[in-house]
Amino acid sequence: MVEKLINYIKNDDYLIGIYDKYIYIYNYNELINITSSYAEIKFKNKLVKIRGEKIFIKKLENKELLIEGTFKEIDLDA
Amino acid sequence: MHNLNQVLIEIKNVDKYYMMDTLYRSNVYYVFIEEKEENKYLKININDYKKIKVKFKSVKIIKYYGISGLVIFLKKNLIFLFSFLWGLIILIYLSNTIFDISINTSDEDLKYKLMVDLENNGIKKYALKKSYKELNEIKNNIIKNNSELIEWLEIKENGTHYLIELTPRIIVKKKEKENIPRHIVASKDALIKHIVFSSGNAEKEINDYVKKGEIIINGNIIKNEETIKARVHAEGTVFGEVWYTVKVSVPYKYIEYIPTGKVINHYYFKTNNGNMTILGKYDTEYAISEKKTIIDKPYLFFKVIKERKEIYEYKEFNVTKSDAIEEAKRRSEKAIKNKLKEGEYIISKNVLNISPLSSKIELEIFYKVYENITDIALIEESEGIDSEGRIN
Repeated sequence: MVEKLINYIKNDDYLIGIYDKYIYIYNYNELINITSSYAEIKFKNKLVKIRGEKIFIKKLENKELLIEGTFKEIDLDA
Repeated sequence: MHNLNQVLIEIKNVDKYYMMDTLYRSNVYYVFIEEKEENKYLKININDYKKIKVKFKSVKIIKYYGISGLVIFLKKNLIFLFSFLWGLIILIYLSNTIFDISINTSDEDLKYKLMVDLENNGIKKYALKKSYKELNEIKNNIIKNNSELIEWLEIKENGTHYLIELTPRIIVKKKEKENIPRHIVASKDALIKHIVFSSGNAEKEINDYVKKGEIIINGNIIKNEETIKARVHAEGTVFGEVWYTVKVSVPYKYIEYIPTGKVINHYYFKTNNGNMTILGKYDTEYAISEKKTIIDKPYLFFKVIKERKEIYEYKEFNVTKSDAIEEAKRRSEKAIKNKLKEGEYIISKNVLNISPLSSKIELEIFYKVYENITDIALIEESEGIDSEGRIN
């Protein structure tokens, strides 16, 4: 019960949505690196590496990211 | 990023990836809106604008959102907004001020009295207008305070103008009328049978003959038989014996239409070329018709008419001479009785002449009727007195 309440108040669950030209990320911890061909994003216990071309952040928020580009590879490391 | 303190900025001649890198490294959150040639448009927080201002060559705010937007708008348009608000206040004030009051009566005294009453109730020139409830209260107050003078009063609001409509109380006029000096005179030639009077001087007695217009109760109170002491409003009632001669003729044959109770409803089209029956019967003998238009439209070339026909039966009656005489008496008596009012009656009747003709009979009947012969005649200012107050 308490766990549910804490989870509701402080939701740490992350979300990665992959579309043709966009990747939507929710609840990230840190944007480690970003260039036009590479992006590295850290979650609480995961690390996402995105490789591609013309990578550009359309929306940069405290908890949200909307990345535009042509994506070739997405790695999810523990 | 909330919309509360956001701005839309334009960054000119900048590489998209350089801009992204700079913003990310400066910890500036943003939403990229669009790119037009070399110019980029972003939505950022107003506080972050100061951070990035120094990092790009040409950056400017295009639009403000939220509270900051409202504050900037108010600062820019302060004079206009102040003038508008002030104008609005003046307009509301002026449109709620009474600029004219008119009272719809020709009685100047009443008009003055009402003006004073209205002023006491707060309705005067350049005062503020009253609410509907207040107007009703004022109206009722005025009617209550002037119940002897006013029958009905209404305060109509027409823009900044109050129009007071009223009906003066008729009792006032009636009272004035009651004081006008007058005589009681005979309305027709008669033999007086009954006199009652409460004011005036009786000139005639019971069983006196009077001509039409002759004074019965005099409004002039006479002193020493030659000087008028006073003029009064003569009051009284006079009944007398009045005479009528009635001529009646009754034919030996007559036709009577007796209603059968049958009704035919005839519906038809009415055009310029004639009528066309839809329902019912077109030709009917001995009927009384009542027509009503049911459909009449300007775009139709016809009308639809309903004709209600009440059917009567035609009957011919033959009457004997004695029956015709009785019928003539009955008709003449009915004609006299129709004229009579309360307290009036037929004293006697007498057949003067009977003339039997080939197709009808003619009767002449004489009636004596007990009838109210009271009439009034107003007394003229100069009537009956000379310059020294003596009777002419």
